[in-house]
Amino acid sequence: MIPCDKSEWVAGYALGSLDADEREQFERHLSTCQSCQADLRAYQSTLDELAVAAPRVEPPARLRTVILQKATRTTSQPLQTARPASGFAWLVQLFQAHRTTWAIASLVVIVALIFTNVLVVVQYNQRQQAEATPFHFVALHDTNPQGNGNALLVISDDGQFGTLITDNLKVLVDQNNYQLWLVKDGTRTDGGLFTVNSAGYGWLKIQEKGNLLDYQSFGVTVEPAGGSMAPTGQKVLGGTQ
Amino acid sequence: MFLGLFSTPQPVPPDDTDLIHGIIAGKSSALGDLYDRYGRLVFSLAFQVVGDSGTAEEITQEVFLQIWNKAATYQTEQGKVVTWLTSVARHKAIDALRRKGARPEGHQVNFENGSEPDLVDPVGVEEQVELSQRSLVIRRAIAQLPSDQQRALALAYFKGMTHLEIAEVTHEPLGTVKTRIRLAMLKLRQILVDENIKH
Repeated sequence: MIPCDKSEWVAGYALGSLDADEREQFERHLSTCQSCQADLRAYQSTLDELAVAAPRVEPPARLRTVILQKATRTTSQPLQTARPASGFAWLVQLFQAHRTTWAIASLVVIVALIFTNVLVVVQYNQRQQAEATPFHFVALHDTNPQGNGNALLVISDDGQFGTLITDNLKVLVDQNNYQLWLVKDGTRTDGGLFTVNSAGYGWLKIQEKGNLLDYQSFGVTVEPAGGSMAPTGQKVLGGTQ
Repeated sequence: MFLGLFSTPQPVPPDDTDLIHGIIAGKSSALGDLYDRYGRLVFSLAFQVVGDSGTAEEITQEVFLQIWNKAATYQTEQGKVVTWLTSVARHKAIDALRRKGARPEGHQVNFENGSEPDLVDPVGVEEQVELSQRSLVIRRAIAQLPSDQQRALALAYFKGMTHLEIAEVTHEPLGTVKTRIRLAMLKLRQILVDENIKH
């Protein structure tokens, strides 16, 4: 591989220490530079090890009990199990852990995804939907012109909650997850990680990210397990409000 | 020698992947075991990032509840369970720090100075013993870095600071900060390769 003049940026990028402009420049460069891609993988492996060097602090004794109590109040939600062959039991399962109003709104969207091309529906009916429901919709499209992945982001009226629903995304292998990015003034905020099932269907609940209506655009990239501090992998979906 | 013939074989403790499978099956005892192994590490990492016990507690809860809810997304070939846990924890903690909008002073962050290995459960599984050994190697590697490089790296890693923010906190020129972080990462990477800690 040819040594690269931007190799000195790799460590800062892996750490998430580049400023917004540098990060954007480097991401454009990274997509075409094998040398930096290899360096980035090596630095990320190094970073994975640093956590064990945090000075040890004893957690409160009650914490274990609190976690187990909360866990037993919810059901674990394996995302990669296949959908039931028929009926709506999977929908009921999916929404058991959600607030009622949120579940109703998401249910409407999921049903639309299954039985219609919801993105077309949204485009044609955006105005009517905006008037009929208190929710905001953002369509995310496949960045590959030949790809057919898509997603819909539903945002609550106050912007405090959102749900991303994807369809036709590739099932990821190795160490990867999909990661949602919320973009405001060039700064990318982690929106959360998700995977998809064998049908390319996945979902992600977004909360505690500030007002989602303040973000100008949204993107989905492929990232290593646990996610990244800033986008490092291939961008697969993008959309703007 | 006959004692061995009649003694009851000790059950083999489940490894981390077994625990993940237990969690997928809805066994809260598996989550409890995973917490017993790594709860302290996750809490320590979160505490080092956010700097207060209450928020670190919330983050630790979030991490283990995320594992509980999304264990099915873990694939064995992804790497170690502990790496997944710490990666999620760091991510959430830096996110929380940014939401709070507070910027720490430089002296509030550092790596563990001790060179002693962590105490591990005497019936600990292979992963715990390995974690203790890795921890020791990493701490020794960090101890070989000059103190200004350690500090810059700690601010970037634990506080999620950009080069510019580190330069402001440490009152050092931006170029100096960039160089320190790059050299620190290069040296750590080399030391860890030499120690054969990588794969």
